Amino acid sequence: MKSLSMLSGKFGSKVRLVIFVLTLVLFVLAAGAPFATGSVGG
Amino acid sequence: MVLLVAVLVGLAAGICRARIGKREYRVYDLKATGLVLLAFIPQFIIFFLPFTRSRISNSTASILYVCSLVLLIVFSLFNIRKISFWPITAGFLLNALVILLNGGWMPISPAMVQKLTADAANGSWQLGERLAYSKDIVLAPDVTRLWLLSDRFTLPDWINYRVAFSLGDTLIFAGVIWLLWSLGGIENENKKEKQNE
Repeated sequence: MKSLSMLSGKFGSKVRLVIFVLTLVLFVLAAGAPFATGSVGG
Repeated sequence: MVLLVAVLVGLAAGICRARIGKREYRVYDLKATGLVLLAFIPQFIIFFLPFTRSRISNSTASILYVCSLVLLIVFSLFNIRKISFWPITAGFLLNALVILLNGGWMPISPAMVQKLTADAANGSWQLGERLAYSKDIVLAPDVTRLWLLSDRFTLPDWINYRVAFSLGDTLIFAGVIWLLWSLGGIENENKKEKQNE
């Protein structure tokens, strides 16, 4: 039971990290406005 | 994609910092994250997706872009209490301000466009027009509102990557690295952050 709760805690923290980084990436791409030749939008 | 470099550098530095200090890399919950996704979708359609960006008129694209910025402003207000998010928010607000004051596009000077697209065909861009499918509009500095906040910086010549960016982009770049670095820090820094939630 303890190991199960540890596993879910570890899994939960990884999910939180992924959601945090994904949100940050989307925010940065949407909020930034650099212009680069060959690519657009951040 | 230059801002994604900041995410990768910040993340790598923060995780290394946490590992060296034998700490867990702790993230916090951002509020109203759905707004970011909602704001990104129209930008994905008007700037990134080749099939749609060529079919949407500049005026429609500009309206969608401004709507997207409004959503991001609301998201920023939801998360304004987090100190580590301040530089990113400040950079975004500077970009949003200059974009809103210049007809819904980020201004860039003709000289800067010439420098970045020296090998482009004649007539591929015009003064007063949107620059390809980008967020930029080509405007002379004397008719640009808040020219200081426009896309007026470039990387040093020894970096072989042509990009123009604004003061707001610089703040976002530095802010992202600082935020992701700080998450690998000691517990007190994270506690301070939580007190502001």
